[in-house]
Amino acid sequence: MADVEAVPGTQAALRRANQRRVIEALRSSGTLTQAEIARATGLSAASISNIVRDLRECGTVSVRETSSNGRRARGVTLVRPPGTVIGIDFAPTRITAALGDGQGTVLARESIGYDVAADPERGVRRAVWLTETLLGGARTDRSMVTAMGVALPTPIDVTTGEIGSVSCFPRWFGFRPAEALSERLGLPVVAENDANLCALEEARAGGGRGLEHVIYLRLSHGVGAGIIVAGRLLRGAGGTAGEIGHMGLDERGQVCRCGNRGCLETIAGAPYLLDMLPRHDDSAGPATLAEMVDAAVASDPGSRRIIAEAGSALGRATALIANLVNPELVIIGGELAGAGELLLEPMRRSMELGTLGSALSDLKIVQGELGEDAALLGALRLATASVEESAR
Amino acid sequence: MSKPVLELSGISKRFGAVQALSEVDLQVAPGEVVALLGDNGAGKSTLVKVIAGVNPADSGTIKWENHPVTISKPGDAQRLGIATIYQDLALCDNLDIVANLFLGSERTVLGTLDELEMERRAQTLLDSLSVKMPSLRVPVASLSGGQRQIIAIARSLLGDPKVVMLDEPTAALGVAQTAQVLDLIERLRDQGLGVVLISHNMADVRAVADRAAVLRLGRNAGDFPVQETSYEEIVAAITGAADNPVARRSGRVSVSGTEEE
Repeated sequence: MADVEAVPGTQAALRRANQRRVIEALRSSGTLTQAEIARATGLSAASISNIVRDLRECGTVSVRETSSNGRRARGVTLVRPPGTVIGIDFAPTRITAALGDGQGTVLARESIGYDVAADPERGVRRAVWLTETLLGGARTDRSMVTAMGVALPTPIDVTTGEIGSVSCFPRWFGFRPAEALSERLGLPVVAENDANLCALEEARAGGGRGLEHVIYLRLSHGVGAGIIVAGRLLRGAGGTAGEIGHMGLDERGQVCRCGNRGCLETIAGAPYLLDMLPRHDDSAGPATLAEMVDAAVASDPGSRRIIAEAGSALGRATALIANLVNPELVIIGGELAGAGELLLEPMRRSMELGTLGSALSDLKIVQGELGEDAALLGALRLATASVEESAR
Repeated sequence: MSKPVLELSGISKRFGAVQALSEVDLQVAPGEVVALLGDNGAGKSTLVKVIAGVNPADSGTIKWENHPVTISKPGDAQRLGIATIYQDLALCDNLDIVANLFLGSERTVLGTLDELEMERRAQTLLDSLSVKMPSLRVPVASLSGGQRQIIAIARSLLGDPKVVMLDEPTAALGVAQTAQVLDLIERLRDQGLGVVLISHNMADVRAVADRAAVLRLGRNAGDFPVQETSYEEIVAAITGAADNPVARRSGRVSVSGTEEE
């Protein structure tokens, strides 16, 4: 743009004022079509067309051919410093997507119920839809997004990105979610186990701030852990470190989906806990883990007993890890964590019986501060980190 | 791909001076979701009305399960097994879910409504679609937009159709409700129904459709396998950006003034 010293009332001053109005409209609304800019500013379509052309020439905005209600349109976006990222959290019955600014702030989020475990292709397809819908709702163009982070309740192979055989999503075995999403969205995508992401996020911005040795237990459909030792996430050779759900605790217990007997998951995993509920009449009892936790908080004796026993089993398992890595803090997350002291009190008691006194003396067990958002925030952080890493 | 259950070829339709459809072909196979895309006035709704028997075609042939048929009124289409759900849904707000589902085909016993049987069948139907409703006896007015759409689709399934046509089922729905309707479309496909989905929302189309049939100015402008086609290619076909300018100009002259309805 020619930089004219504008005298008030001249053509140049008018043009500059109009330009400022266009930029203001774009700043508050993200991507707009030219017709929408005209509506927002009250300027004519022809002026908008000229202003957008000028702004594009000097690199202030980018223009992309798109469609609006089936008509051809030109989407105009302010060119911003890169850093917008997307995070996706796949849970067994829910997909949540969030748009983040790269500083850990969530700009927009959407969540839908979906039977994710049923089919990996469909799950990914629906996640792509959710992402596109989220971007559309936030009026953000895909070209502004730099990376995507994905949280999955499954072990993920560190080198191949393949999902392991024993997880909440048995049908996803061998599937490469990051690759599939990247292909469809045209974005760099990184995937990580959700308990690991929760551990990193809680250690960075939640209850474990400033601590180096933290264990995060995610208790929902399955039981998983993220283990941080000396400030670094413990992944293991193949990415299955922290799969504590398959720690053998009862050699006469139930056979687990992993093929072993008496795993922690058969004592503290959601489907097993729900199976333990007495079903003696037609009255609808708790059907989900969250409902069971609510019932326990509301003093339902059966639910309380089941949660207390789960806590006690978790305590035994955590005692083993505590002896092994000597953490400062154990953070409990996932739906079962909502039971609070009903779960933590028996857990502490059984830990006292199985942990070295010295390891126990400076160990605290707390509920996560970030709640159910930990995995999603962790996925956003993972995306940002991957961008910074590739820039290096 | 299996044999098409519905096959249209060379369909033309004229409203006075307006040539709304010229020589349009469309195929729908069982267990397939076909998205019908196009600009406003491209002829999508006219084509759906031709199939539904509301506005019979002037020329062209319609084959149903490989036999030529004539569809000259809505009853013909319904008898064949074609169900159409329009945007207005045609639900009665003051009636409850069961009454809406059986509207016009009420079950009776000894001359009175057999409420028990209807409620039982309604429950079975909704269960088969994995649809959860708070209660079957609440007035439809109290349901969300997504739930109303689902009830309208469920009602059309009572006639055991083989092809279901949905006109903009996700327009004006929120994200979670749109997701529910998309789930339902997936379930219809899994049950082996052919689904024709009219939508302006490319994200929705890419989420559930197998094929995208594009209409432009009343003509076929492309047929794309959705999974292997980029967003830009489909938009180009809808807007005509892919056309040769000369062909486009001559095309416009011959069908100038094309408008829907």
